[in-house]
Amino acid sequence: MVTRRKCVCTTQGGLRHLGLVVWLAGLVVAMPAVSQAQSELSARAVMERNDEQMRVRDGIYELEMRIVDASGRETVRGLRREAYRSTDQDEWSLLRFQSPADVEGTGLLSIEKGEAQDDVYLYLPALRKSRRISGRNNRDYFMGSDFTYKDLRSERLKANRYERLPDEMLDGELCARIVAYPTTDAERDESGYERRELWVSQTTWLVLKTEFYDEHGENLKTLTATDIRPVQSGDDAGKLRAHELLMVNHDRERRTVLEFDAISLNTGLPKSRFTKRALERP
Amino acid sequence: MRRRPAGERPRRGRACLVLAIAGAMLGERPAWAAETDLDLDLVARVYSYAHDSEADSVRVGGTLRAEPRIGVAWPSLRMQLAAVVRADNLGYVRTEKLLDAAGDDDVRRSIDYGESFVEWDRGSWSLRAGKLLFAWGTADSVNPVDILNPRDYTDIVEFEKVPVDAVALTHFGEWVTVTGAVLPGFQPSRLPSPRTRFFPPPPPRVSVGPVELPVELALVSARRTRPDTSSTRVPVALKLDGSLRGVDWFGSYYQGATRDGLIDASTRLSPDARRVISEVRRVFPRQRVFGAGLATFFGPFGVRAEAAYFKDLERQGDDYVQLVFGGDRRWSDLIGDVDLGVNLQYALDRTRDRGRIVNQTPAVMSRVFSDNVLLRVDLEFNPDTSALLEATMNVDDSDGFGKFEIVTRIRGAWQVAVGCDLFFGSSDGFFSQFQRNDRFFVRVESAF
Repeated sequence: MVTRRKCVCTTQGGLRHLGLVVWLAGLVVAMPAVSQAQSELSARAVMERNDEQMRVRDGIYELEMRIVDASGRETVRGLRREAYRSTDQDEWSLLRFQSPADVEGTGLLSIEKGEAQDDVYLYLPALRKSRRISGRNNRDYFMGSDFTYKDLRSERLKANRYERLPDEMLDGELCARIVAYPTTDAERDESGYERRELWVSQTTWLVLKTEFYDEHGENLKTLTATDIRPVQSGDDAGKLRAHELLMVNHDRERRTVLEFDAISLNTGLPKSRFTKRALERP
Repeated sequence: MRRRPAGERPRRGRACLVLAIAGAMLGERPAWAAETDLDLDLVARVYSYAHDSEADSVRVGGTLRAEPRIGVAWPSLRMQLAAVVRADNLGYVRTEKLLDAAGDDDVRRSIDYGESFVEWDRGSWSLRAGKLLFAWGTADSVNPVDILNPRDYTDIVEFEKVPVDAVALTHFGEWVTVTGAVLPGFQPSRLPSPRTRFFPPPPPRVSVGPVELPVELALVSARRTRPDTSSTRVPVALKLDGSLRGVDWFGSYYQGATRDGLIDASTRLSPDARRVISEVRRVFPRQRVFGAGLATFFGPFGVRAEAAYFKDLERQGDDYVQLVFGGDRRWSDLIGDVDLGVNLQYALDRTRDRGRIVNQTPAVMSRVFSDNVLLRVDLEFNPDTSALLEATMNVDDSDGFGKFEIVTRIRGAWQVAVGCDLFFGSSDGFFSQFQRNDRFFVRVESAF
């Protein structure tokens, strides 16, 4: 009885162990397969996975922007960004300065609709009215930082052609290396980049690093995403996001750090939040 | 930075207050909570007037300006109360008696309302009442249709809008935003007082036949020439604006007395025939002003235009048109890390028959608008340091005004600016008459 029980136990334990072994063996067998499958994903498919990971209906981001110049002098600004994305990928965003006091209330409203030229409005509290600014200003640096207006916007798959390079490890993560080329001259002019090289994590599908190149093939800037952890609030809490972005500007010998204090995804922000009316009411 | 819940609006100086009674009356959710916002803007300017240096003194002037604001907001209701506290000395002052109000000095100490209002929002409607500031028009630098608020021209270089008593109702439609405003009472713009340096001096002597006689200025108080503001003549304004295919547009209408007023001058001999008395009064004719404007961009160039037709309701033939158009362009990293912005505007004033407009000839705005080129160049060296050049030149009179300043952030929101204001031209144009006011300045400002 005891023996049988033992035997049963042993059998059950053995089965359990066998299951574990089979599962582990499967995993071992499957890992290269999965890895191979991921390696076989086209550049476009990788970016689609990234898009899927990044896609949310709306988001609220509280962040601090630190600009450090070549001499180490630091400028700190507090920002709040709200974004809304429709089902057909049109995108609205409202970005507002919270500090220091002399720039508080300055806001930027971007409305990106398909192929049409974007509507971009800048609100300066001193003027008490919003001003339409050119879409071409997308390649200008945003409020003295090393991020251009374009850098602050979501990746537009239609606007780029992607190629895949051999995978690379980055900080212990296997990354798909993708090169993004603007599909049109207009897009190239607007962004100011001849190409971008992206390191996309094959675990989280987040872009961990981006290098920006100009038309001479020179590396202008490098963006690194760190402090990746789940978002704490909103209906999409739990989604992974980088909470720190570092943009090193090799050309200007400066760097800008965006440190996210809080991120909320899918909070139910209404589309009506992204209007000139809202922009002009800091 | 303090970590905040994502839904909270992280505004500096903001604290949550419990205003249970008001909240309950409003029936809002949360019913008892309001947010308060406390702000303070400080500006101190010191001027040294280049043409007033003497052996033992340097003529200086200064301005201290503080604007505290308190705002309270519920989800649909917002209130703001603001004051402008200032002390100016823009007169002739020796350094050793900067704040001495004796003699030619003119020290003004004042407390005025800043923008103060109650605003109620419900759906696509917004109602705002109180001391309001309006910002109408699409052009840069000068907006012909932006005439709802009076101005304080005490210092004509640093002039500012004055909040006006008004009630404004706005409907935000999907395609068109409509704003209607009623502006009861009458507040004229404030002109430089005769004892201050921005008051244009009259000629000391005039020829009367074969002899030259001294001129005595007799100013008639604006209070005596105030327009009728009875209920049937309350100023009203309407504006429609929207965007269509990448073009922002607006149309506007205003009916009421002009805030700046026109200068009506008449001369007569004194009873003893030894002086010429020049009686100057400001008149505030009622006008209808029809405005329209567009703003868009072509590639990297921003383009803006704005026009206003002023129809005088009291004098036939005193109608005129003011038009401003121009463009702007911004370059990043033009030279090294320096960003450059250039804004060029052209302003002109056209009348059907200028000869018949007796009151318009010396009017400030007519001279300012008459064929002027306005240029603004700003250079951003880094996030904390920038330079600004502004110039206005009157093509007809070949005179103008230029301003140059370098601004740097010293700590937090504290900024220091140094620069100069220069008037130029050799004719008797509007700007050249102020040449004695060429000045260097230091400005320190902050916000809390």
